Formats: sequence, structure tokens, C-alpha cells
Amino acid sequence: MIGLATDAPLLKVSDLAIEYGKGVSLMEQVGFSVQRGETVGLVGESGCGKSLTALAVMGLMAQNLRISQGEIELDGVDLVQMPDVDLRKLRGERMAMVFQEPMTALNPVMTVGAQVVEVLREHRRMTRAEAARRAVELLELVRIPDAAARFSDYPHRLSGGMRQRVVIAIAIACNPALLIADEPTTALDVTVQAQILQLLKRLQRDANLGLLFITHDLGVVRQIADRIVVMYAGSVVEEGPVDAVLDNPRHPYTTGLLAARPHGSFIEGGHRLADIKGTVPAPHARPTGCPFEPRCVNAQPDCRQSPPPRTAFSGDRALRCYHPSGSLN
Amino acid sequence: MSDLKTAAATPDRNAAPGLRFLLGPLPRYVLRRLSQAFLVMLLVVVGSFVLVKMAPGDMVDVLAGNADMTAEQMAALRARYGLDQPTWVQLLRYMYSLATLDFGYSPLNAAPVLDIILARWPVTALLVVSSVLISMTVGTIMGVVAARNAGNPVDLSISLLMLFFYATPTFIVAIGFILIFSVFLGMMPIAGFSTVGADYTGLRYVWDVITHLTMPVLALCTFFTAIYGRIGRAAMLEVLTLDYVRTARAKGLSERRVIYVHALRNAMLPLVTMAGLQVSSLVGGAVLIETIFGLPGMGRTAFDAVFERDTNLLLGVVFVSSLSVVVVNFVIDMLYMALDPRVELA
Repeated sequence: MIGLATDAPLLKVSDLAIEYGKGVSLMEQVGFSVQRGETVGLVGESGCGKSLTALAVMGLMAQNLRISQGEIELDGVDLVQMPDVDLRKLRGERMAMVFQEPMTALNPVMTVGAQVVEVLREHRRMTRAEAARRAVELLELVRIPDAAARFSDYPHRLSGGMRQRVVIAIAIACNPALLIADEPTTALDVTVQAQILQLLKRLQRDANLGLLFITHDLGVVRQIADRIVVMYAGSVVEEGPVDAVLDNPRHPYTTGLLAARPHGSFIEGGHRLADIKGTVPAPHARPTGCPFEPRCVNAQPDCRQSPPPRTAFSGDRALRCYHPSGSLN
Repeated sequence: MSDLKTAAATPDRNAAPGLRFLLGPLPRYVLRRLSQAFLVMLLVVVGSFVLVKMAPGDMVDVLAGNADMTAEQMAALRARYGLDQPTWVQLLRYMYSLATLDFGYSPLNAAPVLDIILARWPVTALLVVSSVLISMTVGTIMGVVAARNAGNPVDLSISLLMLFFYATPTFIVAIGFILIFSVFLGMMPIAGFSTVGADYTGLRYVWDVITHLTMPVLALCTFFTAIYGRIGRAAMLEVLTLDYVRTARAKGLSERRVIYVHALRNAMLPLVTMAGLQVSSLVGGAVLIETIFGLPGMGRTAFDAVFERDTNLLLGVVFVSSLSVVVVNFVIDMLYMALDPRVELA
């Protein structure tokens, strides 16, 4: 991309609204940005719109969903207005995605090598032999042991962790600027999780990737992310540097999420896991005011009037809440 | 890429190359399937023989009905064909002659059964193979197009057409074809495998056979096209929701590549299964079409043999048809393995 100010964010999502069918709003006023070399953790409960945001950025939303408002800018170019043909050329090339389920993310009837070669040949002028050589290098880069031999294996011969490495190899094959990882470690067991996180961190550092890391695991966010964006029921409720937000959460939802994490000992003295009362409202049954109001411990009558506006405050943080917890330090 | 492949396949370095192959999974698998096939065929022979013998009346009764014979003449005939022996002796004799590739003699056709079958098997094989290929191709394409347009008018019209094909009995289609294209329009020959008495050779003969087989093949296709279309649509719709299709899209591949390389190959598995079933049902079951279009195929041969009590011919047809089905099933299993690497030799 030519002629762009270097300080323009790599990815800038602003005022994004997505509708289902005729006018059921799935998310509204979602905005955040990802800088080059930065890792942003996107967190929230299931169904809050994390994955939908990722799919919207990639242009891979289901056909019955529609972006009704807002912009998604990559390198300053709006992807929402972009024709499908051009968007397709960016996928796998400028932006790439790693999915949640490594067991099903690879085509079972193609060798892993062929699946890496495919993306290289789609976006780069490479002969078959060149692409195959590069694919083996990529498999080595994601630390797949004996990569040359694994090249001609089918996915079902690989473990979940190995398959996720292949998915990552496919994602980084064309040196994208933006990598979206949608709960890439959720389906893996703990030791493998740590390895995959390490791998993503290393690749991100080495290639100065902008990484949008989607998870519901706050521990993982603290490990990997620079900034955190907390979503609830289709809107961003709190955002800021990860340590600041997690050490001093302001939104009652963030506070609740942190309190709901297991801590201390379950063996000594009947420790009970805290929870947030109630459930996430369905998209068509969201309250008119603050979406979190019905479950909120700080709720006041004015919360029901209108959704709280985004208020930025010190330390590069922002919040949507009329009655935040904690104190402005 | 070639050096990569060899690097991947380095099992046992000590075994001699030839021996390693013979001990490999494929030959062992083939050997096991062969022994299974032998058992199946044995059961077919015994079963069909016993069934035929259980039916009242034999060939001599039919001959006697046509030619006014005395009881002595009938007994003499029975003795000549071995029909006076106990069933188990007849069965053993039959099995022995089968083992020497002797299918016996068909007195009604005045020819060895093997010769009759060798003349008629190609007709049915041509009919079956062309209708399987055509209905599978057309049905698959229809299914893919319908799935990609799921819910919109294109899908609706294809689905309606499929329902129409599915619901129309084959013989109605056949008679409809004859009425329209042969009787009213005079474009197509009404019946037969080739023009009688024309004695064409070379390409002219091939063309003659094609024009004769067009209507029977298409009539056989309609029902199965609908089946492939419906299975293909359902399989495609399912595959298109799977994660690896999304992965393929996330790679920035063209929609065409996503559909035909990633999705279709996975959606082919149920279609291949159906192809196996279609072949099996047509090999012996194309009687109706063969009768309507006057084709000298296996189905009609069997049908006639039943009414003429031509036991040897009937048993021969059943044997060869069963053998064809066994072979086709084996080929389908091989195809399955080629399509899906997760299917292991077992």
C-alpha cells in the first residue's frame, strides 16, 4: 500500500453494526483498532460477537448477515465497500485467520502440504516446486517436526496441536500484515495451548504482525495481548492496555468476568465460583438502554434510558458505562 | 515434490522390494476381498440353484406342452439332461461344470449358455455404464448448482424438476420417449440394439448403436439423476457449512476452487455409494427398459428363461450378474479409498 501515514492503524473498525435478516441488530457501534506489531485481545462471553467481528473483517460472514453501518479499514482502505473480487485478493495475503477447531479446519482429503501450497500459489507467482519448498520451510517455521515427511501426510494423521500449527503455517504463508486468531487454543489441551501461544507470539514479533486475538480466557489475554477489548451483547464495553484494564477494571461486566475466574483453592473451605447473574440477552430481546443493565450490580434507573456513550479517559482507556466500578486512579 | 514423497514413504528398509509389496496392505486386502467374493458366489450358486429347483415344473414340462410328448419321451428327456437325479447330485454336477467354465446348454436357444451370455452381457453393460455415468454427472451438477443457490428460484426449479424425475415411473418415461421421438417426430428408432439387417461396420455401426441406445439410456437416467441430484444437494449443503470450507475461503481462493476442489470432493462420497447401488440394481434389473425397447440384454434373457423353465440359462444369468455386482462393489471400495484418505484398508 502506497502513500499511507505510518501512524495510521493497521486495522481500524469504527461504528460497525451488523444485522440479521430484516433489522435484527447483532452488534452496534463496535469500534477498535490494531496497530502494526500490536496484539489486541478481544474478549467476552460466547455469543457476544467476537467471532462475528473477526468474520466481518475477513469478509466471511454468513450470507444472511449484513453490515448495515460502519467501516472496517485495513491500511486505511475500507473493506466494507470493497468488491468481493478485491477482498478475496486480500484474504490470505494481507490478512489471514486461524480458527478455533484445528480438528476440522483442514480439508480431510488433501495433504497438509497441498493445503499450504495452495495458498502460496493463489497469491504468489510460484511454480509447484518453489511453492512446495516454501511450504516445507513454513512447516518448519511453525515447528512441525520432520516437516518434509509431514508434507505429504493427510490431516487425520496429525494431532490437534500439529494441525493447528499447519493452520498457522497456512495463515502466515504470504506474510500477512494482520493475523486474526479466533480462540486458537480453546480446543487444545493445556500444554499444547502454551506451545501454540508461544508460537503465535514469536511469529508476531518476528514479522511485526498486527494480531487480533479472540478468546474468553482472561489469563491467555494477559499473557499475549498488549491491549484488551471487552465485548458484551454486540458492543464494546471497555478497552485499554491489558494490565490497566485487568488490574483496575471499570466496567461492571469486566469486573464480573474477572471475579468469575477460578482462584484460590477449591479443596480448602468450600470455595464457590462467583458468577454474573442472569444470561446474555438474545439479539432481538436486548434492552433499550445499556445492554448489561439487567445483570449489572451497579444498575441505576438512568441505565435504562439509552445506551451509554463511549467515554475515553486517561491511560488510553475507554468505557461505556454510566456508573463504573472502581475509581479513576 | 518427488523427493518429498519418497522421504515420506520409508517403511521397512530390510525387506526385499518385491516381498515388501506382496506383504503390503493392498495385496493382503485384495486377497481377503477375493476370498470373500468366492464365498458370496458360492452362496449365490447354491441359493439360486435350490430356489430354481423348488419351483414346480421343469424345462421338459414346457417342451412337452409345446410338442405333445408321451410320458416315456419326457422321462427319456429328463434322464438325458440329468433332471431325474436327486437335487444335491444335480447341484454338485452343476458346480463341477461351473468350475470348468461350462454353464451348460440352453435347449430352447439351442446354444451353450456361455455364448448367449457373452452376446447379451455387453448390451446390458453398455446400458448400465452409460446411464450411471450420465445420471451421476448430470445429477451431481444439478445438486451442486441447487446447493449453491439454496432457497432461491434456481434451487426451487431444480428441486421441482428432480421431484418430477423422481416421481415418474421409468416405464412411463420410456413410453413417452417412444411416442414423442419415434412415433410423432420419427427421429429415433423405436426398438432394438442396432438396425436389423443393415450390417453396418466401423463408425457407422457405433453411431447406429448410439441412436438405438439413446432413449433407453435416458429413460434409465431420469430416476437416478433425481437421486444423485437430491443426494448431491444435501451433501453439498452439509459440506459447505464445514470449517475447512471456511478455511479455504479465508485463504482467498476463488469461489470456483472452493466449491469444486474443496467441497465437491468431500461431497462425492455419498454419490459414489449411490453409484454402487445403481449399478447393482441395474445389472439384473433393467428388465423393463430392455423389454420396452426390445434390447437383447441380461434382464430380458433372465425374464424369458424363467418362463421357459430354462434353468441353465437362468442360473447362468444370475451367476454372471452377481459376479458383476461383486466386482463393481470392489471397484467402488477402491474408489472410496482414492477419494478419502481416511478410509483405511480393513
